[in-house]
Amino acid sequence: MSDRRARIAAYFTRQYDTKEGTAQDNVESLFGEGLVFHLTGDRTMGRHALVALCQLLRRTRHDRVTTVTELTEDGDQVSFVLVIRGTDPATQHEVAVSTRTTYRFEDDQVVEVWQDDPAQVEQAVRAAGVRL
Amino acid sequence: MSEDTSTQATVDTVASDPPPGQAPELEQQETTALQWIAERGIFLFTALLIVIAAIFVDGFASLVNITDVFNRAAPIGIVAAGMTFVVISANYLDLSVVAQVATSAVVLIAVNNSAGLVPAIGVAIAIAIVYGLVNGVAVGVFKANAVIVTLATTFIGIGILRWQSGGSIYFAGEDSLIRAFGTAKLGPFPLSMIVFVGVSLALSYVLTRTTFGFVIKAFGSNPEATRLAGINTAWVVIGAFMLSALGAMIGGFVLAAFSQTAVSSMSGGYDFEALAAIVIGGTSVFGGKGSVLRTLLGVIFVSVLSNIMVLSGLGFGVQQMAIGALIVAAVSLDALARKAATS
Amino acid sequence: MTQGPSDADDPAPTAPILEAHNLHKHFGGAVAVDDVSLEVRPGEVHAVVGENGAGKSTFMRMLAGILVPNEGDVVMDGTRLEPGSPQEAIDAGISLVHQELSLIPEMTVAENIVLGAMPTRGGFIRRRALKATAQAALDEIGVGVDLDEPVSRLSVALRQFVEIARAVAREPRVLILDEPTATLTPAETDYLLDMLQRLADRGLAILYISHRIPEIFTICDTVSVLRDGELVGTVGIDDTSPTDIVDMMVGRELKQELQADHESNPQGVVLRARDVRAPGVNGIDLDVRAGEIVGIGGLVGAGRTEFVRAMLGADPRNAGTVQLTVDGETRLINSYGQAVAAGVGYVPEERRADGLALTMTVRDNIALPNRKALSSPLGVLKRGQIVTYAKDLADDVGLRPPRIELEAGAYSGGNQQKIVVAKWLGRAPALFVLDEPTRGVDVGAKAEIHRLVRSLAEQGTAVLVISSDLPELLELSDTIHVVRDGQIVGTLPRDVADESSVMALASGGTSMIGV
Repeated sequence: MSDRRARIAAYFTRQYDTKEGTAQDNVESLFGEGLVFHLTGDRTMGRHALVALCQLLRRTRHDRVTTVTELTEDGDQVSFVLVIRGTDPATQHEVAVSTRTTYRFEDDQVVEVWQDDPAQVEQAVRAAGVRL
Repeated sequence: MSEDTSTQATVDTVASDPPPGQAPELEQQETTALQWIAERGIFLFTALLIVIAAIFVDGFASLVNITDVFNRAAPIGIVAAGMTFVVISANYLDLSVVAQVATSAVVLIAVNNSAGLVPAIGVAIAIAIVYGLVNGVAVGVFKANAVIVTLATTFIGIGILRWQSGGSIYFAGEDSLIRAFGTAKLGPFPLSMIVFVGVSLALSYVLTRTTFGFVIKAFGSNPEATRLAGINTAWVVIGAFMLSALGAMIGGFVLAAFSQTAVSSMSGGYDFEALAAIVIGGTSVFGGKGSVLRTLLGVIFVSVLSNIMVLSGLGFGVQQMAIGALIVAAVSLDALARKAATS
Repeated sequence: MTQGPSDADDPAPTAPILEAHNLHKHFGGAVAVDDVSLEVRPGEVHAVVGENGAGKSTFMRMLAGILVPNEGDVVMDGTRLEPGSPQEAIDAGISLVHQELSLIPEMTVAENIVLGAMPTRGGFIRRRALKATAQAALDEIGVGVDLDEPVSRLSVALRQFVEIARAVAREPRVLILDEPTATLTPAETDYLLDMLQRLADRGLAILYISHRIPEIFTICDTVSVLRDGELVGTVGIDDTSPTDIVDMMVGRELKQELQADHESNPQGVVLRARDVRAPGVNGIDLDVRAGEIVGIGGLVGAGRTEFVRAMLGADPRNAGTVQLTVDGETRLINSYGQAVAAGVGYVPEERRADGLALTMTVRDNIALPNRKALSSPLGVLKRGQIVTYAKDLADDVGLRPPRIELEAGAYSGGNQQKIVVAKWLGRAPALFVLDEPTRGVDVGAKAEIHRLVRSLAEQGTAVLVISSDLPELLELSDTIHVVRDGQIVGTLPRDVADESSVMALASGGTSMIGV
């Protein structure tokens, strides 16, 4: 079961910190094909949109370090706080940002995601050129 | 600089290297037969009609008959030439020509009888300017619908005319210049025919050769693009209605001279007859496309057709039916050609 | 770099199901497709990409039997198909999903799906069989639509799916799709791509025409690139990259042009706008200097276009002062007419609606803003001069073909945009404003428009570019102002700006998000 923690932590490290592998491969290593990522209101995005967003975020020059903390498991759901430290490219300020995220697993893949600040994700998805 | 030109050269060779003879980025490559007819049909049809009439219709190919056709066509032709600018500016038509022609004719004869020709022409010009301004400002500045605005000015104009004239018929004085004009000829050609052709050519020049005509056409094709090209579009619309008023005024003069009388009801139907000639000539009712020469041809076509029918003993009803059918054909052709061009 | 999801199940060396042998098609003297051969295997998603006019659609229509090739054969399962017989192609199992929807709006979903293959008995339609066939096709592609709904009530996306269901109902073995995602939103596109992937997994061969490179890298196994009617090459998706594909599509020289940098050498301030306010614009200050390209980024609806239009006087302004300094002379701009007179060139966002008179010739469109210089003081046009003027400018912007007597409406999007640019180039504007200069424009035209913008700046024009296309904005701009909620929320010089920083400012959040 703690396999999930390791997989989640590895995902964020590879996806953003070290930028290993492709964005798509990384996403597919953790998220299922029928992924439902909840945004604001009734809006959701699927796995392709997530890949597009990750690709955009990975193209930035940054020095971020991502940590997965406070992870709890409850049946098929995993909840954790993601802490990102680094220089904000927009303001050039040192920041530490934390987000609570909940994943629902099915067949060992994440199929549903909730975040506590979906508005920010949603705007970023739009900025990535994805129409919602 | 040398570096600059070399990069440009490479871009050009790459990009301007489509397969031989191919126009890869053109959406529409050749004009269809339909578009050809929509664009040049009127020239062909008018010529055909005249040739056929000359061969088969007794009494058509005489100088007397032909000058008579032109003479009768002159007032409506001049009105249509002016109104062409309103149609090209995509403002549909100027219904108020009905009021303007009658007003111009009545003013010319009545004021001439009481105060002389120069004041008569002066008053008529002033009235034309008022019509042009009121229609133009309402449509161009206040963005009101041209059909409704000119319908309203028709009511107002005819109302004022009836009220002022009391519905009387005015007769041109026995030895007035107007009477002389109506019967004057230059060689074999009646003066009104010469005015008709002259006004058409002059307005054609304005449309095709001046910035004013150019801008009216552009506005009719795309008003917003014209505005964003830095053009004061209110003046464009006012100008179009001014030219329409000018045509209606001169048309009124010629009509008064031709009939030697003037009455408020004399120009009924001029609005749609003018539009019919414009549309049959091939000027687009959607605006942006057309010419005064086309209108001239449209007028000639309709007049010759009517003349042929009269000479062949066909009644007025049949003539109206034929003109109606022609309008449907002309408008459909235009719409189809447009569709073919944009699909 | 990006890999297709199907790279795990490496295309087995099965025999090709559909082969095109040396297809050649010309229309009159114009060669549309020249000696193109390719093959598709069962279960393979094969992309055919190329710029507009590269011959993609002509090629596909030959495969589907709609066009008769001048040379070459279409072979299905080793059997040569009768050229130009759509019915034989359908019978052999080739189904084409048209780019233009061909559904009948008044008919129901079920009727549309079985159209052309109506189950009948004695001349009567067998409604139950009809519905069963339609339902099976919808199930096959996994789309739930009410069978009895008239198509006219469906969204564009659902119509597209019904169109695919119709193709699938014919039980094809090769499915050809021509730009199927052109009218779809990204979410709908995702759905469609998933659907195609599933169909391919079941052994269907798919030919996928597109110019959207990300989609190709999402689902395709193989890519064939056409340029000017010729096959540039066929590559496996794992052996290529998006940049390689663009290279192949446009040719390498143009590619270098795409990446060229311009020498920025900003001089005096040309445009000075202070506290511009209008509906959706909440007080914006902006300076643009001669020789500088200033970019305005932000999300759609952030107030960028509204700001620029209010600033130039194209739309009413509630407050603000705008000055334009040209040749040492400073003028206040309070109306659009003043702006144009003072030396502003403006390429609006909606070029068809606002930029061009489509029924007028290219010549007249180009001459329109500069008609005064091209006429006598009395307003008589100098026609010979206009022709030379328009010809020169059409050449400058690379209009192809450079036929200035054609109507502007006859040209494609990229060329139309070049005409709009040419309109203003002739006035040598002191300030050139371009709103979404390359939206909906193909790669080649985009590069040329970029080249023009850069060369203008190098010649000392002050340039203002609004774009939703982040790479474009980053590539062109010396400075980027990001607008959000009608205000400038950040200004990024060229060396600091990247996609993330612009996006972060635009979205009002930080790019420090983890998803």
